[in-house]
Amino acid sequence: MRAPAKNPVLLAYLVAAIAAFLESAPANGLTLDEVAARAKNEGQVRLGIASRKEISGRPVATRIFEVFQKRYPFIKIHYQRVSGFGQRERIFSEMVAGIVNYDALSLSTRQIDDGIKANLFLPVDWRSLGVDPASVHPKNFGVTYRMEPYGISYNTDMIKPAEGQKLTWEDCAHPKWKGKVAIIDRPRHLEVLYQDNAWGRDKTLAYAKRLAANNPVVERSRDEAFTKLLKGAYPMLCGDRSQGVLQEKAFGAKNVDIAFPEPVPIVHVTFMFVPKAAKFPHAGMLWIAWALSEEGQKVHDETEFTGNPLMPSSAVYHRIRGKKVPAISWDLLTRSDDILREILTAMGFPIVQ
Amino acid sequence: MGREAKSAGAPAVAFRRAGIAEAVYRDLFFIAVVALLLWLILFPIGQMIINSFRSGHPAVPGPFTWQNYVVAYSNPLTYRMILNTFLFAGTSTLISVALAVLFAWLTERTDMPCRNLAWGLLLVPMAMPGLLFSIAWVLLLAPKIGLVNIALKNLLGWFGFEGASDPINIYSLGGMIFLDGLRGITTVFLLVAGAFRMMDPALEEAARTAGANHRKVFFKVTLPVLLPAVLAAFLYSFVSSMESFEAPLVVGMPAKIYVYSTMIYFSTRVILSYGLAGAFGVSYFLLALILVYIYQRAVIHRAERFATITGKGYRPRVIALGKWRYPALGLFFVYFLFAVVLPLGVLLWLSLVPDDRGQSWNLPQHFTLKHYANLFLEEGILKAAWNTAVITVTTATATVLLAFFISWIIVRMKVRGRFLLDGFTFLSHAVPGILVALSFIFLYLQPPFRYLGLYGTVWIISLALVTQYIAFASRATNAAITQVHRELEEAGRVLGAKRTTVLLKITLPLVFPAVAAAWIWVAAHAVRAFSVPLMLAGQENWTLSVILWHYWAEDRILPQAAALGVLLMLAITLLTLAGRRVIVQTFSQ
Repeated sequence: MRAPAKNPVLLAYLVAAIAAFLESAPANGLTLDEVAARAKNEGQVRLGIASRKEISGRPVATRIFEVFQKRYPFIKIHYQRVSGFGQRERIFSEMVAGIVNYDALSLSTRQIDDGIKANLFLPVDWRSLGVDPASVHPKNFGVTYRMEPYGISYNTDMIKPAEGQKLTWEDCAHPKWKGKVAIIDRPRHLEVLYQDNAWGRDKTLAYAKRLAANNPVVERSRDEAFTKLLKGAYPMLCGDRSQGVLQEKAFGAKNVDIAFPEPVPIVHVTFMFVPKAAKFPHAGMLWIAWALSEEGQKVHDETEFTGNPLMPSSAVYHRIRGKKVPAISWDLLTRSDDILREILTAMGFPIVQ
Repeated sequence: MGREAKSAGAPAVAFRRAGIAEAVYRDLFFIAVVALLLWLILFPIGQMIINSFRSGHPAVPGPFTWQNYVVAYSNPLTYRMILNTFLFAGTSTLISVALAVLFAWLTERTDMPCRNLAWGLLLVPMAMPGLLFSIAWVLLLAPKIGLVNIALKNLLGWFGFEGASDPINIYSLGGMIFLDGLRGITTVFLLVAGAFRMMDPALEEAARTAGANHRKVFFKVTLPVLLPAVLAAFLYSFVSSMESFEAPLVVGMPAKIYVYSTMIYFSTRVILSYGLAGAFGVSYFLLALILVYIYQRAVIHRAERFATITGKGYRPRVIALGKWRYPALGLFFVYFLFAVVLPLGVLLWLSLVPDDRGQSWNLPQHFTLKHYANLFLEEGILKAAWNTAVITVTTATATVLLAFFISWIIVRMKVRGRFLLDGFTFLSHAVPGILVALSFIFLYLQPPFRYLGLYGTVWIISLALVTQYIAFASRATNAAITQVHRELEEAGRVLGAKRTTVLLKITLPLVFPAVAAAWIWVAAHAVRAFSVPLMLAGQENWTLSVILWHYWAEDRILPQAAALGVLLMLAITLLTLAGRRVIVQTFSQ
């Protein structure tokens, strides 16, 4: 066989293959402007995100798209709400089978590992697009999308606000509240507290045991639990997400508030990425980079209280400012299933380790 | 397949032994039916069994392991869960079967007033989506916030019991049994009512002539003769209760009372371990297999003993209840109050309030119809309604036809392996809906089946629902065909009719009431099925129940979910009552 340099056809083929490879990794070192220029050629983006179109007549996704399109009017948005376990599992299975209907998609952080195994994510140099490095996956497979501080929501008719704001995580396991507090069947806040920079493993597992022994009401759905809290079925919900409480208060709920005991666990709810087989990958990247920008986070916070809680523009920032907030690690996110299983085992469930 | 032997004591119209090629040709239709059934059922079951020995997500499976079984069965909670399941399923089944058999007897064989109305009304509970039914009862009986509890506390307060704790707590094993027992009555009723109607009264007449009273006749003659139907109903109800999801989810889980279904739910949704779910599913599956075996030994092997429809004419005699006529009707209305009026009333109320999150119940002056109006403004609602109608009709028709043919093979053809065939048909019930849906996703997204183009259409949902409901339909048709004596079919064969002609022209008309009842049951369940359509819902095949689920679980607009639930109930009620009319007219013809 002749060396490639002596074979022009083979050489041309190699050059074309390298060019195709570079094209398939479209954002290796591209700046935001370069991505925007390529996205302009693509002209559209297919989004799968958790934001609702509107809540109680107030625009949410519609408003977010409006702000995006003000900046990038040349991108047409096709949107589908992707939320809930069933839908995410279906989309994941479809993608494994090669059906990809999105250019920017948010799935659960728990699907990251399987997504990597199935080679679903397009690696993108997110840092060069201005995304906060803390949000970027170590191998550039995607970014964390929604971050929410977790706390203890309480019914202000049953616990006075002055007392409620002093609630601590220990109160949830205190015999005084035995059988009177509710938790969600997936206690995500404990996954964060499990980290070494918060409580660490031993303290968290010991706490999980005491919490389970305190006979809490275990609710399957956060929203159902919250409705019961508002109606007075129990005085507090331990490990509740701030977004839901702030939203309900903004929409007129008067008898509820949330306390943020230290350390304040910030949970990374979803993982956003550009699928490897995306049809309009640059437009997908542009959307994600914008969504995580200050402008994007601000409008997310204004519409659905899902802005980055560590940004002063967010409503919750002022509630947790000055408190101990353990930084979340990617190690935690990739191990979150294992950690959850350990916690649930400590609480007495049969779990595969 | 091609071998059909005479059963003991049956007249000698045996089909002669044939060569394999001839047998295949002759039985091609039956081979196709069995192949279709196995195709629908074996894949989900196989997938569940394989998953139980693997780690990781089914789409990206990990290595083979025993770990799922080791973990599942080395934990004391598992055995508490199994005990809970037996207590829950056993007690609720006893309640369902006792009341359903009583109502079937009252409506089919006695002179209870308004018995035709009662027959129709018994179908109505089926129309209410299980989740909404359970949620409605939570709103009535939850501690501190339940309307009934609040009313009872106020009542106790008038009698000087101030500060009394909540009189009723729905979050308990008793609460689960109460809800599931109530829910199960319609299904059992449909399984046994046809048998009561088709019963030959000669034996009862003989017992009465010999001096037996009504009670003795009922317990010594009527019930034993109806054993196939009652046993089939009992076993089906028991397995259904073991698999029952809504009541354990809504009222069991908050009290940390786990049963098989919620353990499987917990394994798949909370800790994302399909392998562990499979390990629980397989043991449930084995248990169901034992139940099928018992049913086979007790009923199918002795089918001739239970045949009550023969070549002789029959007209079941109406039994006079005397002074018990109105108490019997009263009992029925108490049941109807609990099964329909109270939960429906709560849902109706909920559908009219502006917002369900207020501290107290909204007063009627604040009622609004906006949730009903919003439904008609919902994007894609008409398409979802059309999809729902198509899925309902095709699922119900395909399921009962398949069940009818399968039952005929099981009851009439003495082929080797029919026990397994019946077992597989019944056991499809044991595979959790989510695993059925996932297996369908994998199957129809991969070549070669991907090229069928079924994925993302209403047809894939129909196929998955057939898999889910074939167990019920086959129980109904098994029991019905068991009651038809083979002499009628043999008469047709002697006159030269082909086997399929006999099947369609003689057997099917004779068991039509049971087939029609099964059709109504499957249709009513297909309209409101949640888990399978939700998992298989693409852009084009959304159903009304998927929209309802999104209102309830994702968008948290409970009043809107209640409004859609009320309308769905109305539609299903009309469908079931129309179906009932067809049954009555056909039967009287």
